[in-house]
Amino acid sequence: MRRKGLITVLVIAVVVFVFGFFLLDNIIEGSIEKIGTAIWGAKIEVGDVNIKWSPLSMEIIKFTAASRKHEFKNLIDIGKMKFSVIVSPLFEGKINIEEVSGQQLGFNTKRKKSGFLPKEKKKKRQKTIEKWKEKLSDMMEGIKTRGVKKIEVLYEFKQHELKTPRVIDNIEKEFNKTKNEIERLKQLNAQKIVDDLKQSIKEIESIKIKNVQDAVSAQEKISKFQDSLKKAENFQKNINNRIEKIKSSLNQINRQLYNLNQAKQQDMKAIMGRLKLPSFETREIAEVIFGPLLTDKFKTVLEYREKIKKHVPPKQEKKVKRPREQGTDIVFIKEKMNPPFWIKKALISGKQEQMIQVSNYSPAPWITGKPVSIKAENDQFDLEIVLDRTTEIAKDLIKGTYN
Amino acid sequence: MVWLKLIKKLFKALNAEASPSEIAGGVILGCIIGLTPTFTLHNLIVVFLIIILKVNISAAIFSSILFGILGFAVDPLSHFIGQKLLLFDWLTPFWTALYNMPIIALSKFNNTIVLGSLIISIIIMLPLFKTTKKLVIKYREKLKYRVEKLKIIQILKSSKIYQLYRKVKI
Repeated sequence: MRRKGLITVLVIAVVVFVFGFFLLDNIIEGSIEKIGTAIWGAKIEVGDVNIKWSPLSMEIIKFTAASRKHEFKNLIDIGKMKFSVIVSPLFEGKINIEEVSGQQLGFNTKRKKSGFLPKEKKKKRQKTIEKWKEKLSDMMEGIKTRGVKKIEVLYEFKQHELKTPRVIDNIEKEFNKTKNEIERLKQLNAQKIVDDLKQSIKEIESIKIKNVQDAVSAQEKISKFQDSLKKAENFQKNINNRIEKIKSSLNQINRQLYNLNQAKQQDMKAIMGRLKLPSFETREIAEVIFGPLLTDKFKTVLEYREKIKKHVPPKQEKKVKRPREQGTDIVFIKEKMNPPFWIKKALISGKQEQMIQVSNYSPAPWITGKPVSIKAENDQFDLEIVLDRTTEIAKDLIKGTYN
Repeated sequence: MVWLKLIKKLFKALNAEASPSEIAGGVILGCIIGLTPTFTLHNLIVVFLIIILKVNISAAIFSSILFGILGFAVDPLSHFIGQKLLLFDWLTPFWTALYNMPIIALSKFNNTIVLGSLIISIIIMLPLFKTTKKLVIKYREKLKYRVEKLKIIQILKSSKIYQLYRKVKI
């Protein structure tokens, strides 16, 4: 063990631990208050922030946004806000939200202290907003003139030029072939062959030779048995051949599935190669945002740079590095698939008895296997809507009571 | 400058500062990083091992560069091995089980080159360790003094940075 290395790793781990468990809550709390106040223009206050790592969640207790018009009123007052997300689907680029809720929601509630900002802060905020507005409009203008106009499709793809549909056709053909072969295998009457064979075995067992006639009939029986035996052997060969055919077809399907992945990647490359999409590179965006400012400030420096450039011999062109092969990703069956987006529970409840709850919202309900349920409650009515799109046949249910 | 420093450190390690096992350890860990695609989960573990284990870091860096270059030539073989392993019928349940594990799935094991190159590097690990160890010992016995007399090494030794380094070291 390397002591120095171990200590470095431990120090980093301790710093991450301390930051995550003791300081992060306070940092987020302070940031929400500071940034929120700067954007909103009146006081934004947070009672407490709790971050939990398993499951990953953030809980904000007592969030108030002061009114900009009335000094002693809150525009929004939320008792508890919670946002928790399931971590593992995030690695696949999928967002599965366990809970998003705002409880004890109230509007225009009273506050004890003034919610207005001091005058200096107001002026500063105004200046910052104007500065950012200018920057954003410059940036949008730059993107419009540089990027969006450049979008043009140089080439229209025809289906016969893509590999993927061809591979899919092959898979379909092979699948149908296998299906037919299995059907034919099912139709083969094995019972008849077995019965014939049993019958001829019985006949042979019953052979008793006492005279010449018996010998002749025994010979007939033996030849009959030999025929049935041959038939059975042929039948077995036939079955074996068909099974081999099915096996090779299945292998072919497997190979084609593998080819499908490659064809898909090749087609994507070909399509992307023939589309001239605008490049939003860091350098270009930075130039759009900071370009005018930088060129003004460093104008003289840039002029000298240009002069020097004339006398410096041109650089040798850099050799393009050959990228390493990417390989192919083989996809296996996912036992538990996660939908691309899923809100398991969304809840908004008021200070009195009002409540709206949405459960299991997902654009892919057939994956979650759970219907979307919407519940709304008030002291005057209860409403429940269930939208089931988990199967091909949609089922909707609406229940309501009014007091 | 960084390169110069690295070369010097490697020569220093070769010339008796580090034990042959430390150098060989660095070489095999660097070999894994070099042969397999860089941004993968197992390489993160290997880097962690390089930091905490008593292996020669310069040797690991050089080995990763060397095997990285070699990787270009080995990639088709890695792809072939990976593809064969991933498409074996009797291994499918095992790969499927791994594919369904939350963290293992991040290791990109289902990529033909990642799996193939990892298998190759694991196979050559032990022979590489033994060979490197032997080579280091032989180098120290026979080649060390000849190499030290080479002009390039003399230049490297007499460079200002080297002198400064030595002064600080003393």
